[in-house]
Amino acid sequence: MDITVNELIEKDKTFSESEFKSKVENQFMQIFLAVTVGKIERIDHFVNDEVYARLKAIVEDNAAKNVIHFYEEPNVSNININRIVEEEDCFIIEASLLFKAYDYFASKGDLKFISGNKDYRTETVRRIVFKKMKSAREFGIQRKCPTCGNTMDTNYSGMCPYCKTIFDLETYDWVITFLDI
Amino acid sequence: MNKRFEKVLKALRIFAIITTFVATAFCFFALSDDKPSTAQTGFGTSHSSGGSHSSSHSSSSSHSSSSSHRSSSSSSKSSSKGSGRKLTLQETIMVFAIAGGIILTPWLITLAGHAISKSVITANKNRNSRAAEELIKRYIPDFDKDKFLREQYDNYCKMQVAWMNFKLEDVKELLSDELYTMWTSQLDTLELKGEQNVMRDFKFVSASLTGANITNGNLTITTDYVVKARDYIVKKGTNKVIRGNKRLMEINNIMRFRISVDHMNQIDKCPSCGNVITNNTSNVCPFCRSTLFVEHKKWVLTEMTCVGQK
Repeated sequence: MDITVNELIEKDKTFSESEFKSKVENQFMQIFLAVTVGKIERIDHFVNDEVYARLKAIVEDNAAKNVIHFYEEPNVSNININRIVEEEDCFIIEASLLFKAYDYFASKGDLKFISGNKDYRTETVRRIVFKKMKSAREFGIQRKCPTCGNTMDTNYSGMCPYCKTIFDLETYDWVITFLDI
Repeated sequence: MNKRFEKVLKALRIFAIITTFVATAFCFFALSDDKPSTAQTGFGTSHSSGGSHSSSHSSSSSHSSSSSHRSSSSSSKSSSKGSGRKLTLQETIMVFAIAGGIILTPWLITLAGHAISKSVITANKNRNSRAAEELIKRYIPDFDKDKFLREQYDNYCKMQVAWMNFKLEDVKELLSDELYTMWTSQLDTLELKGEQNVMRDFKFVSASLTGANITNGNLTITTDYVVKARDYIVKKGTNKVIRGNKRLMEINNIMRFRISVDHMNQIDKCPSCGNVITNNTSNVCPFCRSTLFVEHKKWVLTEMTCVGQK
């Protein structure tokens, strides 16, 4: 069933549209930068398994071809919430955004340009889908590590600074279930 | 309100440009045939008669015959036709006055509009700043706006230096975790390309508090900073500039800071040894030397957007 932003706020008191948009921007940038540097474990905690597998395949493919996919000077704007769906056990948000970057491939090592666009920023509208379980536990900014119980204030790294446990954000917050990449 | 002002100002600016053109054209046509007369009245120079003959003796003393010759012929036409008629001193002044008026009026209106719009914006900013300060003081009674802005400027400089030297961990405690992660990835990209972002010679220009809001127990402050700095990209290890230039630029940043107000009055306990910690500023437990992650207890930068550079 489709619902409005206000209805979502009523049902999920922790939801804030501005915070959500800021999160979309931040996570989207983190994903593209992680693909460039080939360190997608950094974003593991806020994407679901399917998206993670796709990103991993892209990174592995680039590594096998000995290329780097650069998204230079990335910028995200015009974030829109297009649709909010309430399902029995979760909320789903479909959003779109305008992504600008110098998008090109270069060879690893000598960074020689291979293909893409290095002269101007290409602009693309990307679709992104988030899901949050209704049973998600509320913990605001202060979280407790599920393994050692210590306070996890470092917010979105998904790693406990004390015992280094990586936890799955799906139990707590919005996770990305689809992404145009 | 501001947007409407901006539209009016834009319209006025276009109007001013058009009228300047019209007025210039008007002056040009009004005066183009009157140069001999102005010379005669002491305003003009001697080149007006045209032809090889006049140009050969164009000093003020020698021109009178040619100009008077031409002006007399033109004055004879002036009774039937406007063009070529001599203008008197008063008429010339009037032409200049009218043209000047046409040119200046829209510019003056535009300037006045700017002044009004500026004062409206300043008034709005002050109102927002006061409202933000009131909200913050509800949660942090001893909040000192000027001290906060000063401290955050110092932190901004530290962050930029850490960014430049690829040592973000030095300022980790000043950044929210999501921003730290993103900047780390951006630095990795720079490193991958063998580049370095040089940021130096910081000069404070201005800072203001523009907003505050509270969501989910987090107090977020929005600030507007203007600083001067040199900001350019070099090939790492060399001084060769790849992007940008070395000149001092004025940079306008919108920065957001967050603090958790839910846990403000809680007693701090070290998560490792359980001892009570008071007035800790080092982020290290004095009992067991464990690193403390106290993001929620301190202001952290959550967002920095550059909105202008010149």
